[in-house]
Amino acid sequence: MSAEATLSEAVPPTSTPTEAASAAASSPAPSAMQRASTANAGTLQAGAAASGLSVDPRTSIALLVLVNILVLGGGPFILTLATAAFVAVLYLLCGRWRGALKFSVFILVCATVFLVLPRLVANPVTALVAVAAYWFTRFGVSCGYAAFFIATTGPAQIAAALVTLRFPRSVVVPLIVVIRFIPTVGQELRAINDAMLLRGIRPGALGAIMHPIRSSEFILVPLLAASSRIADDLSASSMLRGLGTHRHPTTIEALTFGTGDIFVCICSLLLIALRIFGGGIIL
Amino acid sequence: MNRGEKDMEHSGISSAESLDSGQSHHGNAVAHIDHVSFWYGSAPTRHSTYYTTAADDGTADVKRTDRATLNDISLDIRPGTITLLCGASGSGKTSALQLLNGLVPHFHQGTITGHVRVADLDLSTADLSACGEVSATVFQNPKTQFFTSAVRSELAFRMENHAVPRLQIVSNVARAARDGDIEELMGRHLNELSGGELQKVACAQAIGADTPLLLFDEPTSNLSVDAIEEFAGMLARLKRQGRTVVIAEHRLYFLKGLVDQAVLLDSGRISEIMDGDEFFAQSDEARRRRGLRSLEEPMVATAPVTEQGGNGLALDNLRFAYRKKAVLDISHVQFPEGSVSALVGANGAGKSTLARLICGLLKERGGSGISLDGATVSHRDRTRMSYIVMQDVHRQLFSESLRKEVTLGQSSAEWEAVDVPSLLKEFDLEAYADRHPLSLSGGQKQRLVIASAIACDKRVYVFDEPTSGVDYRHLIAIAKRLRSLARSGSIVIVITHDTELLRACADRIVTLHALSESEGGSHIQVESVVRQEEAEIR
Repeated sequence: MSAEATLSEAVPPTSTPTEAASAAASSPAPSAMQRASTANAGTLQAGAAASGLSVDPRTSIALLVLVNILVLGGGPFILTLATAAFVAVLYLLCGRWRGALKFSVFILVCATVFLVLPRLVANPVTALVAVAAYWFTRFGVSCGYAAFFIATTGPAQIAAALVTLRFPRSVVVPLIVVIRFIPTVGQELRAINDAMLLRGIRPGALGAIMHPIRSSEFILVPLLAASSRIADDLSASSMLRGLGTHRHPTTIEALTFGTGDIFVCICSLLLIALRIFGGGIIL
Repeated sequence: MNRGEKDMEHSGISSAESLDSGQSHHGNAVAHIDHVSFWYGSAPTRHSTYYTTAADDGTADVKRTDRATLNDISLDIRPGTITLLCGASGSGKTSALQLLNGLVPHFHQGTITGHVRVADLDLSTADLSACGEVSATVFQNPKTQFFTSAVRSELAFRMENHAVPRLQIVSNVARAARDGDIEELMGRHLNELSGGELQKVACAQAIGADTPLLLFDEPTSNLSVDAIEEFAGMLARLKRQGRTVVIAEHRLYFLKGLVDQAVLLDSGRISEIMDGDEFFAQSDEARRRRGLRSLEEPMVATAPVTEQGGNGLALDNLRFAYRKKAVLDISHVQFPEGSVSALVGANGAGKSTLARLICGLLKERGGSGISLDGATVSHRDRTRMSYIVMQDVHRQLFSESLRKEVTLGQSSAEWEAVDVPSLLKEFDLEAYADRHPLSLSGGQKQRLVIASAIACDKRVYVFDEPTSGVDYRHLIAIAKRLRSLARSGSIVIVITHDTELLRACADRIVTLHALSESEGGSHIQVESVVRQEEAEIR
C-alpha cells in the first residue's frame, strides 16, 4: 500500500489522468488517502462502475432516447421484445439482480398475455386485456430502462454529460435545479404528512379521496411555504458560487467511453437494423 | 480561466495581496461599508416571505418601507481580523452580512443608499457571481446551501461554474479537502452526513475558494456542542492563516479569544463597536441588557436521577429497527408529567426516531411497552394525544387565518368547546386573529403552532430544536413557554443541542447514544438537572 502511495506521490497532480491518483498525490497521510481515493473511485464512476459494466452517461442518455423511439414507435412487437432483452442484459451486467428479475417477469407476463390469451379464448374481453397487455409491455420496457438509467446515473453524471455535450446553460441549469429539488420536496412532504397526522387531518390516499380540495390545500400551502424558503436559500448560495455565469461550465467528472459503450453501441445498431429491415416479421 | 489561475495560488498569499491593494484605496481594509441604508421591498415580486425582518411583537404592523432594515451602517473590515456581528433577531445582522456578499441588494432587492466595497470591487455595480468571487459565504442551514449531492462535487461546484479546467479542479478540490480537514468525507454523499459534518463541508468549500473575505451567517445554529468546538478550532486556524472573517451569530461563547471587533446592531443601526476582549469582558448583566446570549460556555450541573413513580409516559423494552438495522433498544425510561425532559445525543443516535415513536408516527416492535399513567397506549392513541413542534414550523401551518388554524382538524362540537379568543390572547396573538399565519414572524408562528396543539387537547409535547437561530430574549420566552406547559400537567420533551436552553428550562436530561457504539452498556442515560441559584426563568 505504502509503496504504491509513494509512487503516486512522485507524480505531479496535473499529469495523472485519474482523480483518484491526483487526490492521493496531494494527500499527506498515506492511510487516510488510500481510504479517500478508493472511496472516490467508488462514487465517481458511480452506479454502473460498482460492479462490472461501466457505461458513459452520454451513452446512457442517447440510449434513453433510442429505447423510447424503438419501443413506442411503430415497429414490430418482436422489436419491443428484443429491446426488453437488451435492457434485461444491461440490468444483469450491472449486477442488479433484483431489478433484472422484476423487469423480466413483468415483461414476460405482459407479452405472454398479449401473445397467448387471444388464441386460447377469443372474445371481446380477452381482446381488451390483450391490447392492454400490448401497451403495458411497450411502456414497461420504456419505464424499465428509465428506472435503470436513474439507478445507475447520478445527478452529477447527468449534469456532466450535458455539460460535455455542450448543451446550452438554459437547458442544463433548470434541469439540475429540478433534479436537486426532487428529494427536498420528498422530505418536506413526509414532514407535512406527519404534521397533518398529529393535527388529526387525514393525509394519504383515503383523505385525498374523501376531501380532495381540502387535502390538496393542506399539503400545498405548507409545501409551497417551505419550498419557497428552501429555494431562496439554495438560489442565493448557488448564484454566489457562479451558477449560470459561464456559457460553458466545466465538470470534475471524468467521462470516458469504454468497452461498455462499445457493447451498448453494437446492441443499439442491431436493434436499429431490426427496426429498419424487420418489417416483414409477423409478430 | 483567469479565475482558475487565482485558485492555484495559496490561500495565505491571496489575502496578503488584497491587503496591499486595499491599502491604496481606503486605509488598509478588505471591506468597507460607507453610510449604507437599506429598505426591503421596493420590488415586491422578488421579496421572500422568509426573510421578514419585522420585530417579533408589536412593531410587525408598522409598514416595512417606513423603517429601514439597515440604517446608516459604516464599517471597516481589516485584513486578518475576525469581526462579529451580533444583536437581537431582526436587528439587521444578517442583512449587514448580506451587504458584504452582495445578496443585499442584488438578491433581496430594495432601496439602498451608500457604498460597499470588498477587495476593490464596488458591489453596487457588480453582479452576484462577481460579488461571489471576492467573498465566500457559509450559510445557516447546512441542508439548503448545497447544490449537488456529493461532497466532492460540492467542492468543485464553484470552479465548474467558472469554467476552470478539470484537472485543475481536481487538484484544487483535493487541496480544499485537506485544508478543510474533510478528506475522510470525500467519497460520501451529502445525505449521509451529520449536521456537523455538513457544516465542515460548507466551510471547506468556502475556505477553498480563496476569496479575500469569508462570511459566516449563523453557522452554529444547527450544531451540537462538540461540533461547535470543532468549528471554533477551525476559526482559530483561519485566524492564524491571516484570513479575514466576518461572522453573524447568536451563540457567542465559542468566539471568546477569537474576535477582534464586535459590532452590536440594534434595529438596523450599529449601536456599539467594541474591541473583542472588551466585548467578552462585559458583565453578565450588561450582556443580558443588550439581549445577547451567554458569553461563557453554558454548563449544566446534573445528578443521578431518583426514579419517582407517578404519572407520565413510560417506555419499557422499547425496540425499533429500520429494516434490519436496530436503532433503539431501551429497557426503561420515563418522561414524568409536569416536567421538562431534554432529549440530547449525537446525530444519528435515534433522537428523532424516538420522538416519532412517542408520537405514534412510527409503530414499535412487538413486545415493546409504551404506557401513559400506567395504561398501555397504542400508536394510534399516541398520535391523538401528542404533538411535535417542528424546527421548521412552516410545515405545520395549514389555514388562511389564525382563528381557523387553531381549530383545524376538529369536529364542530370540539371546536365550539375551544375558547379561541382567550387561547390566542394567552399566546399574545389576539391582535392577529384574522391574519394569514405565514405573515407572522418566526416566534409568533411557533406560538401559534403551540396554541393549536393546546386546542387539540394534547398531553405530550415534543419540541424539535426550538431555539436554533434564536436570540437571548426569544430563548428565554421559549424556555418559559416550555415550563408553563409542563406546569399545566403536560409531558414536555425537548430535543436540543442548545445548552443554554437546557440550563434555562430542563428538569432532566435523557441522553441517547447510538446503539452500535454503546455495546454492552445501556444506550440511554437519565440525569436530573441541578438548578442553578439564579433560576432565570421562574
